[in-house]
Amino acid sequence: MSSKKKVITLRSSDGEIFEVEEAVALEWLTIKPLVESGCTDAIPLPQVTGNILAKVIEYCKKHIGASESEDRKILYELESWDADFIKVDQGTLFDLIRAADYLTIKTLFEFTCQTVADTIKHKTIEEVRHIFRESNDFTPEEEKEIRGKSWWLQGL
Amino acid sequence: MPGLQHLTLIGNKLTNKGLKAIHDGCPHLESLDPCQSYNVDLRGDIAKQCGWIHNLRHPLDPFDGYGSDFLVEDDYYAYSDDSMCSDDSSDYSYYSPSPPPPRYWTRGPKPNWLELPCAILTEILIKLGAIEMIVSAQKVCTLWHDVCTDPSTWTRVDIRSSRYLPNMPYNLTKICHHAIDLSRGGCVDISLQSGCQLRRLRVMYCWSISDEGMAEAARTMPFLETFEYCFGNFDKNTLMSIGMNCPCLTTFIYGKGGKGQCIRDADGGAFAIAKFMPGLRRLSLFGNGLTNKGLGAILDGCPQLESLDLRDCYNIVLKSSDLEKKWERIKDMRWPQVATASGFNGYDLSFDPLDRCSKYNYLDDSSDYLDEHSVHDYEGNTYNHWDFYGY
Repeated sequence: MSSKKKVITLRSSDGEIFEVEEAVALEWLTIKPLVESGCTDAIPLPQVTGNILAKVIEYCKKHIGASESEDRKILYELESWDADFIKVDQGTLFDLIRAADYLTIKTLFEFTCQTVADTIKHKTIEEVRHIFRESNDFTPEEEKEIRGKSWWLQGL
Repeated sequence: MPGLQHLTLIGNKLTNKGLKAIHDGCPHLESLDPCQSYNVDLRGDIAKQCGWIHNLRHPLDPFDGYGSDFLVEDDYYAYSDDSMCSDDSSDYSYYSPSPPPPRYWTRGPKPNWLELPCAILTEILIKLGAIEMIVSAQKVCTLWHDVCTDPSTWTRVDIRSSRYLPNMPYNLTKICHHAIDLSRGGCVDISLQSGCQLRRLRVMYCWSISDEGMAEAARTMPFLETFEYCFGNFDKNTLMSIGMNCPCLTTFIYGKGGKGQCIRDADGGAFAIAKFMPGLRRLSLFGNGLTNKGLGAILDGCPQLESLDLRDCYNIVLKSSDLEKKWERIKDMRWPQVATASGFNGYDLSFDPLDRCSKYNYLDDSSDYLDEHSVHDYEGNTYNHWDFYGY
C-alpha cells in the first residue's frame, strides 16, 4: 500500500516547501479535509512561516503514535524531549501558539498554552505585566474595587 | 546516618530545625531534595548553611517523579534581583521565591501578546487555575480582567495549585464560591486536587452530580469522616464506592427529603450501606424509600451505630419484633412518623444551611446558583471541610 508512505506537501508563508507524512498531516484538523480529499498540490499555509512550520512538524513527528503509548519509558523520554523542544524565546512560543491554533493541532496548542501559563504562574502582577508588556490600564476606581474584592477573599 | 551523600525528602514534614540537624549530622551531603516539604523555608540563614550542598532543590519545586535526577537547570534558577520588586508583592509573599522566566525566554524580539486572540488568552489563563485567575491574573490589565470574569471562562473551575495552598492567605471556600458566582450558573465541572485530607464534605441540592462523578471523587477522599448528602440520589454502586474508598466514614447523612419518595432501588442502597460502611456511628436516611429488609441489613451491618434518623421513611413498618431487638441499642432514634416541621425544609440537620447567607453575604442573590454536573477530585489540603450548595 502506498498510503503508508504518502507524503503531503506544505508551503509556508515565505514560500518554503515541506513534506510530511500523511499520518502527521491528518492530525492537523484545519488541513485534514484537504488531505483526505487526496490533494496532491502543495497546501499553502499563509499564516505560518517556514521556521515555525519546521518546528511544528518536528513536534508532530515526534508525538505521532508516541503520545498514546503506555510504555512509561517512552512517555518519560517524550516529556523530556518536550521540555527541550519548548526552550524557545517568547517570539517563537508566541508564533507556535498561533500556528497550533491556526492548524488546529490540539496537543501542541495545549502544550504551548500550558508553557505560557507555567511561566506566569506564581508571579507577582508586576512581573506578569513586565513579561507580557501589558500596562496597567485600570482606572484608580476599578483598581480599588478589585483590590477590595481580594481583601474580601482573604480571611476565614 | 552521618555518611549520607544524597538525601531526598519528598513531602516530609520536617522544618528548618530538622533540616539544620541533618545539615549538622551529615557533613558529606552532596545533594538534598526537600521536594514538597512545605515546612522547610530555604530563605535566610539556612540557605547559607546549606550553601555547600551541590544540588539543593527547593521545597516548592515541581516533583517530577521518584526517578528524577538532581540536575538543576541553571537557566531557570538563576534568580535575578529585579524580578522580585513589586508593589503587589505583599499579596504573593507566600509564593516566594518566584523564579524569573528562563534566559532563553527573553532572547529575540518580544512579541505583542496583546495581539493574541481572546480565545487563546482564555485558554492560557484557564490553565493558571482558578486561584491564580482570581487572586492575580484578573488584576493585570482590563483585557485580562474581562477574560477572568467572563462566565464562559468558568464552565470548568479548576482549583488546583496545591503546592502553594499551605501558606495561602485566601479562603478557598470563598474562592470556590466566587468562581462559581463568576460562572453565572454555567459551571459544569469542578476540580480540586488529589492528595486529599478532606474530612467533612457536604453536598446539598446538587441534583446533577453524576454517580460516576461521585464515585470518582470518593476515590480521592480516603480520610473522609463525615459526608452529608442531602436532597439528591445515588445508586447503590456509588454508595458502595463511597463505602469502600472512605473507610473512616462515621457519619453519613443521606437524606432525600420530600414526602413522595422516589424509590430507586431503595433497599439496594441500604444493603450497600450495610455492607460497605460498617464503621458508621451516625446515619440519617430521611426521606428514603427503604423497607424493613434494608433497615434490618443496616442494623446488622453497622454494629457501632448510635444514631439513626429514619424520618419520612414511610416504607418501614415499625411493628416488627425482629427489628425492635436490633434497634434497642441505638441511643438516638428518629422514627419515620416524627414531625419534621422544624428546621431546614422540615429537617433539622446537624447544621443550619441558611446560616451561610449571613456568613457569605455575597451569595444573597441566590437566583443563579450553579449545578455541578460532575465533580472530580475533591481535595482539602489545608482545609478540612467543603460545602456545596446547588440551589
